[in-house]
This record gives sequence, structure tokens and C-alpha cells, in this order.
Amino acid sequence: MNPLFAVRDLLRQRQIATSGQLATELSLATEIVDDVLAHWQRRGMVESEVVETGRGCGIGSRSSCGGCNGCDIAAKAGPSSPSISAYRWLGTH
Amino acid sequence: MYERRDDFLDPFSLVGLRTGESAHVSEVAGGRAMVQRLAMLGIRPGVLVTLLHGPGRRGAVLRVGGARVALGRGVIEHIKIVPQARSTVQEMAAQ
Amino acid sequence: MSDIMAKALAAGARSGDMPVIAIAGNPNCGKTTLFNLLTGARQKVGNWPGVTVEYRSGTARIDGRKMSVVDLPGVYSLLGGGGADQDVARSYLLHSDADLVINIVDAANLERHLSMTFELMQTGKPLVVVMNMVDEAEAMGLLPNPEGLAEALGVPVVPMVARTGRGFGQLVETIVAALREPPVVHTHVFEPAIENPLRNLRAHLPGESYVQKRFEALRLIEDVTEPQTSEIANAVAEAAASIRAMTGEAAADAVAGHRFGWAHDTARRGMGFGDRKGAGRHMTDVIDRVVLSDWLGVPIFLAVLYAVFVVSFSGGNIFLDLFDQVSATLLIDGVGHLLHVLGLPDWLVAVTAGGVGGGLNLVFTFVPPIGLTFVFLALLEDSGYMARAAYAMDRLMRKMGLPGNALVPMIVGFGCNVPAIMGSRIIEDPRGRLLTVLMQPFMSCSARLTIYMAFAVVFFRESGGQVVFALYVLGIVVAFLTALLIGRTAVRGEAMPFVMELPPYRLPSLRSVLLQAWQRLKVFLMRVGRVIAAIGIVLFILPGIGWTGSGIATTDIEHSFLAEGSKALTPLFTPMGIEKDNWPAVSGLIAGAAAKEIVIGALNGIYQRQDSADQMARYRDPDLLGQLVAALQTVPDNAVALVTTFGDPLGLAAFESSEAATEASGASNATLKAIAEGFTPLSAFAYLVFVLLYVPCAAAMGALKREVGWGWMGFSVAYGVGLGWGAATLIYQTGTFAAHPQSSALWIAGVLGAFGLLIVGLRLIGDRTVARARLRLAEQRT
Repeated sequence: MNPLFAVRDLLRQRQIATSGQLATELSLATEIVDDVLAHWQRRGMVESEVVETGRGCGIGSRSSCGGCNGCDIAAKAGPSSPSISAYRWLGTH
Repeated sequence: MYERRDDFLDPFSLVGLRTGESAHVSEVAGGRAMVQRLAMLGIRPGVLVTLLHGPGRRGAVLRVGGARVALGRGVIEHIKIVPQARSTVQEMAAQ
Repeated sequence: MSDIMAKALAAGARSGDMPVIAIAGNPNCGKTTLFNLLTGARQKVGNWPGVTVEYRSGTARIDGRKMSVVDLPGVYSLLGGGGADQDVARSYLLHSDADLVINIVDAANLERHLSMTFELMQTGKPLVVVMNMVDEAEAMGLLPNPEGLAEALGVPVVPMVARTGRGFGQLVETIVAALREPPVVHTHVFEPAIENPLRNLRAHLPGESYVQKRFEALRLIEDVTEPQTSEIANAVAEAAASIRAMTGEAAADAVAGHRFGWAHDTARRGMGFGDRKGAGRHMTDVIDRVVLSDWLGVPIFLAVLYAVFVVSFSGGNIFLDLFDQVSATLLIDGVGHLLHVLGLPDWLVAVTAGGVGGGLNLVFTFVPPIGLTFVFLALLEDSGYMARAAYAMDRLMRKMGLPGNALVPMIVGFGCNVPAIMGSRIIEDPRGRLLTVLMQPFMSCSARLTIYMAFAVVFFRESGGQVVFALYVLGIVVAFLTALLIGRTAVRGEAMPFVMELPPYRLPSLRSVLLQAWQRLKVFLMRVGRVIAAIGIVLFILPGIGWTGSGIATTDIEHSFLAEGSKALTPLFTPMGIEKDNWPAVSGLIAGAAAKEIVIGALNGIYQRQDSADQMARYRDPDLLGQLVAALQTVPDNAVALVTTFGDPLGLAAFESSEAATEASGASNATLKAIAEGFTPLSAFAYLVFVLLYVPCAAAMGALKREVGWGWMGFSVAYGVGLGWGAATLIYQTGTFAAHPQSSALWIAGVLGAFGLLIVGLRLIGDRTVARARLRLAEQRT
């Protein structure tokens, strides 16, 4: 497997994902995925954006707080909603 | 295995997949709560899943991304897949 | 410019014929630690000329020879994008005449660090790789394979823990050997689609050496530096177009991709489980194939559960006598003696030592088996098996109208019903949740275990493990039948389909397992201990006061409030074998409605009181030391007994061995002795069944009310008491059928008849609910 192209292909398919998600799906260390994404970012194919967590039960909320509502409440109750940065594929399909 | 008998009747369902095979999910049927629950575990239309165990009497274990998800028999029947072009691959291999 | 600076420095670093060693690597991988290890105090720190980048060099004495060591700035890459730090490191490596480069990499993060190794190999300098922090990698379950990495790289690899100095000897040897005979580093050759255009480009570049020109060509192709002239720019464009045409990727991506792929593959050769998730995943798949299989899933789960409890009890019994006798010596005799010496009145001494001390003694006695049970439960959770158990059991659970993950709270319920009832929230479907909650009071919690153990030790020594296991199984069976009964009558419907993530298997960490077990044990000790101590006092006093002709006054036990009240209720329990004289057993049940752990506490309070004259003599003249020595002696005795009877596959020998131990020590526990007098084995078993099934403790009732409301809580309490009474009566009457067939037959028929009525009643409730739902639906339609 080639991490550089594997990450690209997966992100191209997903359009948007966090490095943690990509790392899990590809069985790669998160650090490697971060390095790879840095390469694609430098090459102008990927941009990072901030995603609010606690926004419902979307893609990445496979969390331990049991169900969507639990997360929502926890997120709202907290002093500041934790946010994570996700990567969006900019290149062509 | 005997529970495979009906598998070939529905190549569009996860039940028709064999252990070790992969397919893309095309549709997740069932109640809203169940669809949402499955989506949280990464089982959504368009996602590639690999069958790790089953399908048997208990259900099946899928690999979705890096995670393993165990699904009961009642659930896997509701997950539709894009059927694999198994025969095409075999033909190509034969040539 | 920096090139010139670096050349000057390189020349400066070399004094005389001292060899020069440069240390290169990513930041935060122990580079400076290694530098300190090599140079000790002989360091000088300054700035590289012209830039604010720290320059550290020092002198090392290796094998009697002085060498100059340069600590290069920590960078992730030599190619570009890393600022002044990177320029310094690259210039130094390309232009200095360092004799050896030590590349330090983090073993736990090998793949990432190998990117840098790849670039270092392009400089052509003699290289030694230090695989640092192998201890952390091992702790993560990785198996560093320095030989495999050395083979893959073609240079020596030294495994180290620089922090502790582990592996330093090997490093010294390797350095000496490498200086004597420098390892030849093969600058990596790319595939022809990349290598050929690279060679063409190199020809257009200025530079002194092959490696300098090649390195510059790589930087140009990867687009991390600007071409100096238009001629070079054209050559770069030409090479890039050629690579693109042959690989189908942009040149920069093709070259970078090659590096990432090389690091990925090389890391796998340098690390057992190098692709650790892959290897772990394979293991998980193999184990899952067995554990989740159609035929073996359920038997394996039952076997695991059985093993957990048998091992906990057998192992725990080695230390049970120790905990019992030590805590009895200190808390009862020791405290009693102390208070007696302090001159406190006899009644106060008796209450404190007998009531409080005796209660606490019972709690401590059962710490070994309960603690071990918690350890095994934590092991199951941590290892990832628990979720498999839920999946394996799902089909069976579904037949009883339950979701498979209803099993998880049930297993928690073995520890304590309260978190189990609250933990039922993990079940999304309201119907499944209600059924699961109603099942929990029948799971044998650790508080009930103390009662089982006390009785098992007295009546079922040889088969104690089986009796306790039978009670656990009975609890599980009753729980399932309850779910089946209610699910088919009052709340009809189907269970939600099973969906659950299965975590990968992992070797549980000892620390986390012990911590989890300790947390649960602490709850048990604090909550249960406090309650038992408090109730112990009350029940120690209650038997001492009663209603006499002149009002409330002290009296003997036979005429106390407790005795009168319990005696009045005892006839209710006669059908299950509790005779009139054994009213303390009823007192225990009354107290047990508040908390089941008090049953034994209550018995203790009363029996200790009956025994108190005898105890006072021991408080006056105790033999604490002798008792403690005797207690310690029980451990090897019990262990030997366990080992010698290890052939017993069920591992239940500990019950026999602790009997021998108890005999030897002279049956120190008055409560156990009194229990032996009040029950027969059959009535003891019936009593235990009642203890298992009747009212959950006050805390569990509170949790029930919170989760399912007053109505279902009330039902649960009444249902539990009725079922407990019915089951205990059935057992006792069946067991004594021969003695009085007529009355036994009547009792049995009565119990079964009442159960039938219950089913009919629940069906009616269900019908009404269904009818009401239909009505509501009809109203909505109109």
C-alpha cells in the first residue's frame, strides 16, 4: 500500500473526513495521515476546515456518550463546543 | 451452509455476500432510529463494507473502515448492496 | 550562503584527527538525550553563524578515543518547508565531511521517522540508525525488530532507550565498528520512471558532488525550492512532464509517494506487528471465527462465565481465612480489648466490637473472592470479549424478546444491581429497556454473594462452588423467564435488531484492570461496609430492648422487639423451612429489604449478641498475636490444599481446604456456627433462593423508580417477594415431600396456582395496553 495515494483516494471518495477517520479506515498511524495530508495541502489538493462536533449524529460522532442526544447535550452543556479539523478534497474526481 | 439457500435470490442484499467479500452499500432500509444508528457506525450508502463473519444464524460481522460492527440477522436483510460482478471477475481470471 | 557557513563550521568542528559524528532526527525523539549520553558535560552551546538556530557540539570519549559530536537541529524533513533549522541541517549534511551520521528514530512511530531516514540516505553519508524508545513501542504491543530494519536499510540499527541508557553499550560498539569500516549507504534508486528523468535533470545542475546535485534535483522535482535559472526551470519542467507521463501522477506526488511507500514498507520490516493494526486485526478475525461461531458462541460464553466464578472463589478462598481471621482478630477482639482496657462499660464494648467490628469483619472476609470476581470482569471488558458475548448471546436473547446487549447490564449486575439498572440505558428500544431493567434484581450481586458464601461455607463445603454457581444460574434463568413472561404478556412486541461495534481484542493492561476492579471493590466496601456497621449496631441493640409490663425496657433476646416482630412473621416462612426457633433468619430478611448485604450483618448482630458473654471473656484476655499467626498460616495451608487437589477440574477444592483451616483454627466465627444450628442444608438452600429473588435493596429500588417509574417499581418488588417465596417453598416442600406428602402437595399446588393467576393478570394488563393503543390510533385517524 502507498499511504500517499491511499489517503488521497479515500478522501477523494469521501470528499470530507478527519485525519483520524482516514487513519482508522486505512489502518495507518494518524501521524502518517497528517504528514500525507500536509503534502496534499501544500499541493493545493486539500484544504482543512473546522467542523463543530456535537452537531447531531453525522459522520464522525461515533462516540462513547451513547446516542446522538447525549452528545448534543454534552456539547451544549460544555463551556465551548469542541471542534475538530476535517480535510476537504479540492481536486477533481 | 444451508442458510445460504436463499442468498442467491437476493444479490442486492448483504445476506448474499460471502465471508471475506466486500461491497458498497446502496441503501439502508428500516426504521429511522435504526438507519440513524447504522449511520453512526459508518454504515451508509456509498460505503465499502467487508464481510468478516457470517452471514449466519446470528447475523454478520462487517468491517466498516477500521471498525468491526456486529449486526443481527434482522438488520443485515435491510442493508442493500451494489452486487459484486463476481462472474465477470471469474471470467477475466479464466482468460 | 548557508552552505559556506556550514563548510566553515564543519572545518571548525574538526580539531586534529578527531572523528566527527552528527546526530540527526525529528524533534522530540530523544536526540538531545542521546547527545548528552554521548558527550556528558563536555558540551558547548552557541548559535550557528548568521541564524538564530542553536548549535550544540561536544566531545565524546568512545573506546579511549575522543570524538567530536554535533547535535543537528531537529527537523522532520531535509527537503524543504522547515525554515532555518532545516537549511542548517541540510547544508551540514550535504557539505560537511562528518564521518558518521547517527539517525535517531522513534520506534513507536517508526514509519513517520523513516521519511527522514530516507532523505538522510540520499546524502550518501555513513549512517547508523538508533531505534529509540523501544520500551514504549513494546508497551504498545509492538515488537521492534532492529535486525529486520538493518537488513531493509543496509545500515546498522541499534535498539535503545536513551532515557535510561539501555542499549548504549551496543551503540558504542557500533560507532567504533562504523568508524573503522564506514557502512556504505546506497543512495536510494527510484523506479526508472522517476530515476531516469531525475538523472537528466541532475546534469543541468551546478554542484560539487553527485549527491549534492541529486539532492537538489529531488528538491526541484518535489517543488520545494525555486529553480535558479531559466535553463534549470526548463529542465525541471521537462523531467516533471516525463515523470507525469510515465507514472500517471504529478512528478512531486510520484516522488513523495515513493518516499511514503518506502517508509511504509520498511517500517513493516523493522517492526513485528509493524502494521500493528493489520496483525492485530488478523488475530481478532481468527479469535472471532471461534468465539462468534454458530455452535460454539454460547457454550464458550457460559464456560468463560463459569471459569470466572470458579477461579474467583477457589483463588479467593486461599486468602478468605486470612482476611476473616485477621479482621476478626483486629476488629472484634482487638477493638474489644482496647475499649475494655480504656475502661468503657461492658455493654458499649460489646456493641462496638460485636456489632460494628463483627459487621466489618464479615465485609472484609469476602474481599478476596469478590475482588477477584471484579478483576475477572474487568479483564473480560478490557480484552474486548464482552461485546462478543453480547453478539453470541443475541439470538438466544432475541428468543426471549430481548436485545443482545441486554447481556451487558446483566453482567454488570453480578457486581451490583444499581449500576446494572442504570446501565440498561444503553438499550435504545424502550420495550427492551423495560424488560432488561426488570431482570436486573434477579442477578446475584456481590452483596448476595456474601450471604451465599457464609451459607456455602457452613453447609456446602465440598460443593460450595457448584451451589453458588447454581444460585447464579437460577438468578439468570429467573431473569430470563421474567423477561419472557412480561414480554409475552404485559408489554408485547419484538426486540430491536442487534447493532454493536466490536472493539479489537487487546491484551488488557494490568493497571487498568486493577484500577477498574478496585473502583468497584471500593464501592462495595464503602457502601456496604458503612451500612453493615450501622445496621449492625441497631440490630445489636434491638434484641436487647422490648415491651415489658412497665413499658420499653432492657430485656433478654427472647422478649425483645426484634424477636417478637420476627417471631410474628416466622409462620409465613415456615413453608420454606424456617422453624420458629430460627427467627433471626427472618430478622435478617426484614433488614435485607433495605440492603441485602445486611442479611448477614443482621444475623451477625443477633448471633453475636447471643454469644456476647463468651466474647467478653476474650476481650479481657485476648491472644491477638497467636490469632494473627494462625491466620497467616491458613494461606499456605489453603494454597497447598488447592494445589494438591488441582486435579479437580472444577477447582472447587478450596472449600474443603478452608474447612480444614477453619477446624484447625477452632471455628472462630460465631455467626457461621449459629447458622449451622438454625438450618438444614435444604432449608439453607431454600433460604438462599429467597434471598436471591426477593426485594432488591433500597438503592436498587430507587434506581428502578428512576428508570421505569413507581408502577413498574412496585410491580418489581411485589413480583420479587412473591416469586422468592414461591420458589423457596417449592424447593423446600419438594425436598421434604416424603415427610408430609399431603401438606407439601397443597403448598406446591398453591404456588403453581398463584403463578398461573399472575400470568393471566399480566395478559389482561397487556390486552388493555394494546386496546388503549388501538383506541389512540383510531382517534388519531378520525
